[in-house]
Formats: sequence, C-alpha cells, structure tokens
Amino acid sequence: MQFSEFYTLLLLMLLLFLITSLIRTIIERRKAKKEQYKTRTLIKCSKCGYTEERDFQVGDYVLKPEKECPKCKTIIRIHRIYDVKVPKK
Amino acid sequence: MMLWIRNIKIRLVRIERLAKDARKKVLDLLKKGGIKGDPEKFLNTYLQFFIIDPVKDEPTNLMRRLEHLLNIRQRRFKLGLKQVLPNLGEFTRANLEVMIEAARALDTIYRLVRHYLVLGEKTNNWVLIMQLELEMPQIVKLAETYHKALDAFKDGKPIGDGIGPLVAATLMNSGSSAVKRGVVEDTIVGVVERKNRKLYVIKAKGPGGTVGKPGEAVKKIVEELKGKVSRIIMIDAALKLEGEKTGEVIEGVGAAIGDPGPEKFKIESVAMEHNIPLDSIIIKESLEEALTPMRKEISDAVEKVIEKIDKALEERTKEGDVVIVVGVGNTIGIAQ
Repeated sequence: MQFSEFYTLLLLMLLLFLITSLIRTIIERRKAKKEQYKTRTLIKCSKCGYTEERDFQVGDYVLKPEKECPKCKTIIRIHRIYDVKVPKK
Repeated sequence: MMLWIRNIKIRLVRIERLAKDARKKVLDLLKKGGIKGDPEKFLNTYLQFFIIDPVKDEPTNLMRRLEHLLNIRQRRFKLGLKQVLPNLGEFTRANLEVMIEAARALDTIYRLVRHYLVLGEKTNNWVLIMQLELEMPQIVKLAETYHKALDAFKDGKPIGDGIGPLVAATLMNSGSSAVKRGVVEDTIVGVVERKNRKLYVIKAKGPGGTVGKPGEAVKKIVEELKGKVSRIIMIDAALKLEGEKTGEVIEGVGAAIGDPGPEKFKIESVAMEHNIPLDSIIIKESLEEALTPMRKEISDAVEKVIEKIDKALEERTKEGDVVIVVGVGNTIGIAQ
C-alpha cells in the first residue's frame, strides 16, 4: 500500500465516523421531542355518579369540595387529578 | 478520550442549566412567599445540607440512631422554613420543602458529574471518563426527571408516588364515613367499616407534600389495639422494570415501603412481635412516572387495588376482624 492510499483510507474512515456521529445526533434530537402531557381534574358526585372533567387549576387537590351537583344538589368533590397524553398534531 | 470529554461537557451544560433553573424556581417561590432575609443565602444553606450516616460496624440501635438523625434533619428543615416564611400556609410550606429537595438532588448530580469529569481530565484517567460517558444518558434522564418533578411540586399536583395515599383516601371516603384523627406527626388514621371488618386506614396528612410516618403510625395503632390485628395490608408504588406495563397491580408479602429504613423496620418488628401477617400490594411505575404528575394509567389502578383489598379481606380475614391498611407515598395534592 502506497503512502497516499493510506491517507485516502484514513480520510474515508474519518468521513464515515463524522457521518455516523451526525446521524446519531439527529436521532437523539428527534428522540428529545417527547410526548406532551396535560393535567386534568375529574370531579365526581359520590351520590348520583355525575362526572365532569376540566383542566387542572392551581389550588386543586383530590377531595377538595368543588360545587353543588347539578343533578342531586349535594356538594361534589375532586375525585382524581391525572396527566393525559396530548395527541400529536 | 477527547470526544468522550466533549460529549460529557455538552451534557454537563444541560444538567447545569436544569440545576440553575430549579434554583431559580425555588428562589422565585421564596420571594413570592415573602421570605424574611436573603433568599439566596437561605437556599445555599439547604442545597448542600448533609446527613452523616450512623456507624454501621456496630449494629446496635442502628435504626433508632438513623431515625434520630432523620428526625433532626426534618425538624431543622421545617423550622428553618417556618422561621423565614411564617405567613405561608402549612401545605404550601410542605410543597416548598419537597421542591428544595428536588433542587438539592439536581445540584448534587451537577456537582458530582463535574467532579468526575475534572478528576478524569486531571489524572488523564480514560477509564473514569469512559465510564462517565457511558453513564451520561441515564444521568441526564435522572436530572430531567427531578426537573419535571419541580413543576408538579410547585402546583401541588398529585405525583405517581401518591398512588398509595390516593387508595387510602378513597377507602376513607367510600361507604361508611370514616372517623379521622392525627395519629403521629403528619400522619392520619381513618376508621371505616368494610365487608363487615373494621379497617384502620393510614396515610400521610395531605394535601401538602409529605410522606408522614407510616411505620410509627402502624406501631402506635397496633399497640393501641393491644396486638389484636388480623392483617396489615400495605399499598405502595414500586419501580417497574423496563418493558413492564405502567399501573400494573401485583401482590406479595412484606413491608412495601421505600424509606431509608426506620419506618420499614418498625412495621416489620411490630408485625413479627404480634404475629400479624403482612401483605403488600404494589403499583408498577418508572422513576419518572413516580416523581412527575400522576398518569391516568396509574390513577386508574385505584379500583384494581381496592378489588384486591376486598378479595384479601374476604379470603384471609373473618367478619368482625380488625385490619390495618397503609397507603404509603407522598400525599401531595391528595387530602383525606
């Protein structure tokens, strides 16, 4: 193998390494775009089973008395607070 | 080695950004709460606050010594916050306490990674640098998890780890109304009738961010009842293995609690002393899911857990028996 051929081979290897590094970076960046979540609050009447779901508001907590039930007029409480996946557009 | 160092430095910058942002969020809250004195100085004191492990070569009273140190640390934290923020509500203060813990974890991760990087460079130790480079994706993920947890703590949202207290709160408020009282510091017990059995349901006092003292509470209740307890059922979130389904409910035996030791030790000891069978129900989730707002799949597990409790009551206890149910975990965003 001639000296110039050795250098060509070395340069090719370097180029290959750079391309694979670039692909790896692109893949990692794509992975970084993670799923988005939204916090929802579920209000449920323990007496008649009426439910209502809305966005979470600061100050919400599970079992917090919310309002009067539109069906049976008892005080309804927050039943659950959870994160749901936001569908990708 | 130079490429590895470059990669570590890029990721270290990301961790540093997360740690600085966490610090800023805590400082903003301290200022908003009307802190007395310099908030920077206050936060610096608690960010690098340490606890020295008790001597393990001499195991006598090891758990009691560890508990003593943990209690001192907790009281010091609480008192410190109360002194500088006297007008802030009890629950907001508890949430701020967990926020400081998360910011402290991020700061520790940043300082540790920087330490090993600088040490590897100084000593030209390529093995150390290579190990760090290979571990970096997991370390960054951990840092991101703590950073995400901060937002949940700030807004007081229930987190995945709160599934135990959520089951306990549901039990306390289902069927016959429970008689609730504080049993030990930051811990509540509710007595409720279910399937003709008397249930003592224990959980941390919410909706502030705290885990309470479930071990101490179980010990106190068993002693109050003079050991006449048919069963202890513990409910906790547990780390799932990669590939496992989030929110899966499984059963086992033993004390399901991930504390540093004292609480678990108390439950095991009191159960053994009075020969009380100890059942566990765990809900599988990842570390990220445990520290961030509770996912719907985890929240949906409540009904499945209650079904398992009912089955355990019917199959393993008799009518009229007394059973203790413990919901273990951080009760942030969950009342009782």
